[in-house]
Amino acid sequence: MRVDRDEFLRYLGWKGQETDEAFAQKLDEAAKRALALSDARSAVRRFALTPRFELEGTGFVLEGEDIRAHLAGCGEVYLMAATIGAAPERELAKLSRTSAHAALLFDTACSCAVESYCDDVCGDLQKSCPTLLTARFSCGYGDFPLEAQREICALLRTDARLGLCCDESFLLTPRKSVTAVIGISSIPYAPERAPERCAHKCAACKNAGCAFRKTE
Amino acid sequence: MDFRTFLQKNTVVFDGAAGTLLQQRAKNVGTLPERLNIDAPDIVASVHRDYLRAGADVISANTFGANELKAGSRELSARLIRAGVDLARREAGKDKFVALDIGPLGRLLEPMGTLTFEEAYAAFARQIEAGKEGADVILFETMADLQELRAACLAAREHSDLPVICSMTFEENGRTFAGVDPVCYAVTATPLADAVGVNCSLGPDKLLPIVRTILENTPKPVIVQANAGLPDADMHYDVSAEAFAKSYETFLREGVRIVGGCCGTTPAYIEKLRALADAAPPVPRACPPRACVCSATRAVFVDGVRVIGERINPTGKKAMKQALLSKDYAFVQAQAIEQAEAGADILDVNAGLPELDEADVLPRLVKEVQAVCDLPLQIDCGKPEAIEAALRACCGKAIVNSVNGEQKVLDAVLPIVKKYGAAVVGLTVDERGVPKTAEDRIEIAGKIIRACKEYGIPQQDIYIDCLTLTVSAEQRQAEETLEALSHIKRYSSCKTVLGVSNISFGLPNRSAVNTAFLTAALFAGLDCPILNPNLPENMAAVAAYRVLSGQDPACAAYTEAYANAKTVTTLSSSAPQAKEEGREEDIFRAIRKGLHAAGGIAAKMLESIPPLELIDGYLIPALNEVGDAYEKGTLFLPQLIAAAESAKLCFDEVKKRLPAGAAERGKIVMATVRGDVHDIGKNIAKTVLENYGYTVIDLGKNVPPEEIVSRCEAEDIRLCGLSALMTTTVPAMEETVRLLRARCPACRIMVGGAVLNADYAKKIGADWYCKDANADVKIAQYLFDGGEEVPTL
Repeated sequence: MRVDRDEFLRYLGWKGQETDEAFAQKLDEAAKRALALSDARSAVRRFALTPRFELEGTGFVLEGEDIRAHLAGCGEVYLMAATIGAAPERELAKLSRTSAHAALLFDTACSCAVESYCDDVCGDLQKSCPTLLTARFSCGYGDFPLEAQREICALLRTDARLGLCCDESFLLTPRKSVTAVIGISSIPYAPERAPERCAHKCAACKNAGCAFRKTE
Repeated sequence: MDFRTFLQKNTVVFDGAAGTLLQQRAKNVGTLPERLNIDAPDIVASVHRDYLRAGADVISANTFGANELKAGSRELSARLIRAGVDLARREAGKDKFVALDIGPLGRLLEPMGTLTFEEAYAAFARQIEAGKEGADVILFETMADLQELRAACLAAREHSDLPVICSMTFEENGRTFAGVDPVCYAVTATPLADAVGVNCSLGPDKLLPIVRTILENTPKPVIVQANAGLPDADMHYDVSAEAFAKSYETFLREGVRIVGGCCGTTPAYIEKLRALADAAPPVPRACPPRACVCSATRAVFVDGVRVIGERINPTGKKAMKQALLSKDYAFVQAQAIEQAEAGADILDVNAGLPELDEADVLPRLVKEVQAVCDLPLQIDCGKPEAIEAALRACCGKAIVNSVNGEQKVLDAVLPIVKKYGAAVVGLTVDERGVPKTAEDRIEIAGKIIRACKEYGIPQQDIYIDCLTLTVSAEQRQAEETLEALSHIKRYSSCKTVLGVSNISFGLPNRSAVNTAFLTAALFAGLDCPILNPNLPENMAAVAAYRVLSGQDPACAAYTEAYANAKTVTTLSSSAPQAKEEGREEDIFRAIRKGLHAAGGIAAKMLESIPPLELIDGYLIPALNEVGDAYEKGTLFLPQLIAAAESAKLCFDEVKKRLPAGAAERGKIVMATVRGDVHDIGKNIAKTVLENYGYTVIDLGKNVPPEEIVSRCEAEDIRLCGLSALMTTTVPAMEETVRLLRARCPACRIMVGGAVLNADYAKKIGADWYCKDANADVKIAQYLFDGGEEVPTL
């Protein structure tokens, strides 16, 4: 897990504006603090996927054309949930009472941290899987409903295993958390041909106007 | 035999995991395994039977996750729980025990989540009502949030007479997911439960240090129900029954009294535990009493000087009074953070204003302070109703300040202190008034100590206050106070507490008298001075005492704190000195660059120009320039905010020189709507608006429509800003807008948030959509300062 400087700036909306050494130092401090307070944890469970996109034996059906297109050709999926925990959340509560600037940098650094942690989890899954995994696909992307987050949390028992809950608005708490579906394809995995995940993720997303979209 | 009696005499064996076996035996367990209680009761019964056959004394009903939030309805929840307990009862018969098994609700409580303490309490209470008939004991397990566990335990105690076992789940870092420390857990849960302990999370060997800490901090029986290690992606666990039992030998040897298994364990594991329990009688143990107070995440042992910060108290503090009256909890929170950073160990919380209903305000104050600060609290109030409300809200073990020697006060307050397991301050006054001699103080202290004993409050939880009187009015009294203090310290195991600064009232150079008295009191045996930790001389006196009394081994803490400090000044800090001259281009540059020096430059400029001219001639133009640059994209968000924060330092200088309210440009209510805890956007907008001189009443996050509207009504608000992150929370925003329109027709509404856009904002009836913080400012300037018109949607 790390906080990538380019990602950090991209999340902050940086478009080449001039910055100085003092600002760079603040970014470093925020990144360091985010990593120090992160207590990253994940839960993963494998399911067989039925032709009608039900996770076999659960009654949970993946709704939405986008997720189904994403999983085309996959007979199994991993459900995953990841969080960097409650401590960053408490720090953020404190910072938001003392400095909005520090709070923004820290909040953003935490977003980078949890995404990077998810990359690590996916990387490890791929390493132990002989066939190619799809990029992770999260609720709220495209037409995959946010509401599915409730079922994913229940199936992974994230409340007991990670301290991660889905609230009445189907949002995750603690906030710096992710749930996702990863398809297990039948294409043999060759490390040298593995796609770069995040770029792949942005290119596949239909939200062309997204402020955070990576341009190649 | 009832469960309590059985527990007194025996090592108790619980069952193991049900989920794993249910999964194997039922084809489709789905997201709510408790449905099997109705859909496939035979399978559930077969699991119970297997555990009974393996030797379990207690079987847990299949009710762990059958709460109304997970089941989706109260009716279904009650039905599943009822069926689950009935099933277990049938299998257990008369000889074995049934536990009503209750897990976490699956939603996070405030402040991290949206669920309120009262909602959690009500949900637990309904589970208990549904399942208590036929159960022998209530088991709360796999808890990670101490506040949720408190809600559960209180619900159990107030809705049944059944014994309560509570169990939290800890991680390898020695804390729960929510950061709860095992000491805080043991100290807080002990008064609320019949047994405490751990389950789930890790394999048994890794739980050992946590179990030891719990054993050291509770006299109650301790339960351990470990996982069979950690699961892989196919839900296989890695600790065998043999290895599992090996670890449990150690648990039992160290005094654990209740054993069982959690995830991944099977009847084979329980058979081994049965054999261990039968092999040897329970090991007796003693738990030495220690004075301790705590929050959920920080325990403070009072075995040396512990400073109680006094700043959250409106008495004699104009800004705090104003904050409490206007419900400006952000101000209170900032005060809490400041005192914690200054080195306070415990914070006093007081809402004693005749205009306020303390029973209403004090619990809110506790909640707001605990949201940003992990120090234990002292509830400073004499009204039993308000004390109880505050203790209910307070997570951890608090001190109640105070009772005194009056019997009716003791009888009203001590039962509450006992119920919530708090500590209590005993003020050495009674119906006869303030005693004049040390002897009289000691006599009253004796009465308080005896009364506490009758109510079952141990001596180490009593903090005697020998009263500080004003030395300029009653000069002999300082000595009497100190004499009583040292006597009580010598002849009891009570702790002592004393407010300090009152001593110097009416005298010049008060700090000299205060620190001298503080030092004298510390040497007389004062444990907890109540003082202003933000004054360096106070903390220096405490640090010096720690050195002189040997509480600071090798003077290490003192050296670390003061090695690089110049001699401690007794003057409070003045405005930061500016390196630059107070020139126009400097202040523009300082704000644009977001430098802290801006405050100093402003102070310098204010020597030659009037305050309002600084605002209109310099600050606002500088901010506008920054705003324009942000809009053009030559600055980006962090730079906009840094600029706003440095402008805030300038405004602070201006405010010092103006009568209160004179610089006010307009009042805006802001909130993140109900169901939404994502407040970073709202906080950014707030910072930027404040630094243009607008007063922002920040209602926080997850704010119900009614609260927003009633504040807008009460303050006659003309502009309200609402924030919502996702499509799922926009309906709450829409509801708020509707209610505002109906009840505050003069109030204009601006909205913002990730998924919003102008069309969406228009659809829900808002006046303006704000794409960023700068847009808010344009609207405020238009509405309050005759700025350029911003067309409504």
